[in-house]
Amino acid sequence: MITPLIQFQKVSKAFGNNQILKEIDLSIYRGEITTIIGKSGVGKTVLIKHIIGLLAPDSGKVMFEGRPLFEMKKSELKDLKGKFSYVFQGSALFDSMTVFENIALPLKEGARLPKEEVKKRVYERMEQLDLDDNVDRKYPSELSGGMKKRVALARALVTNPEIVLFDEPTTGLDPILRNAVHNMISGYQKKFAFTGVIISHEVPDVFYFSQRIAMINDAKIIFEGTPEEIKQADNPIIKQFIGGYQNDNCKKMGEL
Amino acid sequence: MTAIIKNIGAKSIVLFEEMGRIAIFSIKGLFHMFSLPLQPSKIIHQINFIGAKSIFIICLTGGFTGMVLGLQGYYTLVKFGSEGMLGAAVALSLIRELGPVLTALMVIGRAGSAIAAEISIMRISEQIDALETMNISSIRFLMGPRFAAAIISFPLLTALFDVIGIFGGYLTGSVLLNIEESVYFHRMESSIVMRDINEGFIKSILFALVVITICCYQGYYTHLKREGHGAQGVRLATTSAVVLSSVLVLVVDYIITSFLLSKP
Repeated sequence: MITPLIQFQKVSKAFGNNQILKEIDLSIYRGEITTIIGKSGVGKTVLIKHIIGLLAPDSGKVMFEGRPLFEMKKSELKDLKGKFSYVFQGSALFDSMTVFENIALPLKEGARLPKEEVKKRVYERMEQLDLDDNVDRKYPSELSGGMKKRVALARALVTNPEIVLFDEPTTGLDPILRNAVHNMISGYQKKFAFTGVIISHEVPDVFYFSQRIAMINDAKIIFEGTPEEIKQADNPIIKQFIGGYQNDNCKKMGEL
Repeated sequence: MTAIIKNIGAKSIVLFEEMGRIAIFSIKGLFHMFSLPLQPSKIIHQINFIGAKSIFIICLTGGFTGMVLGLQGYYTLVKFGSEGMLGAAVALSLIRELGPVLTALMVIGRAGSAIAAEISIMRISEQIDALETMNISSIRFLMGPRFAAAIISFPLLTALFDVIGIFGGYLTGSVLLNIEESVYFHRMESSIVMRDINEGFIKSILFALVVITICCYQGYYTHLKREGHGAQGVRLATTSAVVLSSVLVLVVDYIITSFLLSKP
């Protein structure tokens, strides 16, 4: 049996009296894209923040290659973090830094690469993400929402991570850019074979590039399986969620 | 009755937890001031923000404080026929007490509030989380240079405040109220000893540590406050940074003064 790359075992998390996650079990496998879907505010972001150690569970274990994170030494955790990248929902770009400085930051401060190597890798990623050369000196406040997302993606991918966590990477993008980002994630995943964990509402788009889907509802994982399996699911909450989005999309198509 | 005791107990635990967090935060900030590799460009940038950009306000307040001390001191001393002691009175008050305290309070208003606001915005917009996910220590990256800059800037600004204040006292005492210039400066020179200068210096270093710890801490942990979200979180962080650091400067001042004066 294949050991999952990342595994949640009975993970619970509460903020005050608000129970966000309740005994969550979830497996994420190497080289696959796992998409976590669910209504807004059900704790999807809280869930993936546990993977990278931004949050610690109240109870239960988050394991990497079969080893619980809390058992790891500080140096091991640091090495492990180096394998991850995180694309934040709101991009989380540094507003006092230019686009170039933002993308270069993990290479300069994290990996501490020489200047020339940093420059080469930053411009390479910018080109791959259709960010013009004249954007490099702009500040995030001078960019459109879509452009900010691309800069955030460039920053996440510039370190060639093994695991990339995407928190709603296409929110606020127009349909063309949304498809471009989906294609890019899918294309990069094939090219670099990274493991992707994506939080997304883009049903049914996510079914085309995800190998696994997990749905969270009422602080619990109510479904975990392939896109084909979720389409066959009998659970009315899942049906309503998928159907609701599909209907929304149909309505939008009709309006067009 | 049990409920009251429970409530006091719960609040005490929260208070001690917070104090512990502040202490750890301060130690980490101090440690990362000069942790390798050094961050000289960031330290210089922060010295410019905390120190250089505060020069004007320090000169202004220092000048007027010295002038007021000169006036008040003159009209008090003249009653005892001791107006010749004005230079010593102005200089001692400034060097030992008013210089470090007022400099700290001015820097809190100008730079401390801005630091708390900036860091809390970074926390709310997940920029601090982003640093951690990039394997960059947020304390080292954000706090280290600020701690170093504050500890370098505060004593220099205090010295500037003292000098300008002494000159302000001279303006009112000698120029306006006709005390002999040589008397003003001679009395000052003969009354001040190295211990007074050291006292002011120690105070300014401690105030720097208090101010930078509190202002950075309030911004860094904005999200732990009950209403620490969005614009309200920034408002709370800024207000508590200014209020708490100002109060703590005065408390620490009293403790240090009583400690230093009790020593022979």
